[in-house]
Amino acid sequence: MGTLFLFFLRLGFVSFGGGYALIPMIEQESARQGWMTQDAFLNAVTVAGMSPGPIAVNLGSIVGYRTNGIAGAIVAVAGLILPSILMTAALLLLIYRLRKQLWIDRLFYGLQPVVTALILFAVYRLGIGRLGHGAWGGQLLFGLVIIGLGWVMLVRYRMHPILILIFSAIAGAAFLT
Amino acid sequence: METDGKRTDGNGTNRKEAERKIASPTFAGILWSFLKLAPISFGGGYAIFPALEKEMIANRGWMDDRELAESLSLAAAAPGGVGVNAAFLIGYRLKGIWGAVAAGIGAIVPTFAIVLGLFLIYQRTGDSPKVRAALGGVTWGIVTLILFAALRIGRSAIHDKFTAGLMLAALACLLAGLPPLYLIVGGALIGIAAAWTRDRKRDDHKPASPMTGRAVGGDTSYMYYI
Repeated sequence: MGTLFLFFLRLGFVSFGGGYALIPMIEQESARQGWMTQDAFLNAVTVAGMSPGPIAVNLGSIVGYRTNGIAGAIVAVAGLILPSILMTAALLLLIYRLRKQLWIDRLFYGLQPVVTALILFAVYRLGIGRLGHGAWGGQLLFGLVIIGLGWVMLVRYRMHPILILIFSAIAGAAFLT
Repeated sequence: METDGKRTDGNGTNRKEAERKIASPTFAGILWSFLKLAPISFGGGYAIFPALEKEMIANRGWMDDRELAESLSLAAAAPGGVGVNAAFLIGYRLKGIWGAVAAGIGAIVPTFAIVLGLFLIYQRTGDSPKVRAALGGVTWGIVTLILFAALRIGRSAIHDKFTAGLMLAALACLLAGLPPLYLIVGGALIGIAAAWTRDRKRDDHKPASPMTGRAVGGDTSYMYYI
């Protein structure tokens, strides 16, 4: 269990930008330590991806659960989250305690455009990953229709985001194979 | 865009009224808000931004647009899951350490339970084509939500040619495979350098720059809204 914790603690320090980059690292370590078979790992990635929350943390709880039960899952998640709590706290101290507003403004001036690019990139990755499933022409058409309708629901009618997810699930079950 | 702008203005007045009415955030209130939000953060933290915005600004009136955009940018720049970071940051902003604890518990516990529950179900039933198709549909729904989040952050991020160029350059670097960490550090440094030189130039022309006349109240909004 100590190995499990230390491994995920180490990963926690490098999980910038959502944690998609951690998946291959967890896969390698699982194979090396004999935590999971390749097949079980692929299933775990699917479940982690379709669950709410960050995919790396989800994957950590599944790997932890498979190796050491609930305690393993808690240990893995704690390892993954602890570094980001510490670093976020450090950022907080810097920003809110010092209150050097001018420098914060300057920091955000460059940071926010990069963050916007990161979010757009997440859209791109998600979309490309989805287009890889089966006929991509049909997928793309379906995706554009969902984005269009979802956008109208969200912006024009100000519907709750969960309604867009439910709508897209029903549409997927009806039109995708 | 035109109608969007009007909408924000309309919200603005409502929000100010709401702020006067609503009491300051409590531990239980923050916990409940995040417990409610966490289960819908499918597809990573960015997808939660629209719902978070609705809850924090429209429903609760705890924050305004700028405060939220600032917190969310910080959350995305820190390591770890964006959603979890956002919970800690917003919780701290609302009610100090205990606010952060409440938001953190609210953000982590439901997703933890749901992942393990889904994994157990998945192990027993395997996967049916219909379930897979539905999940495929959900991916596009998530794409929509994340695009919306990008628009909201982008609107407070991009206010001149320089920031627009920086955004496009960052996007090009990401597509070329550069690690996000480099871009975050690089973007922060470039932004500081650019804003600093610009402020200096401005100071030469106008001694009483808007930068110095800013200390009005506790509003921590940016000076770059022009």
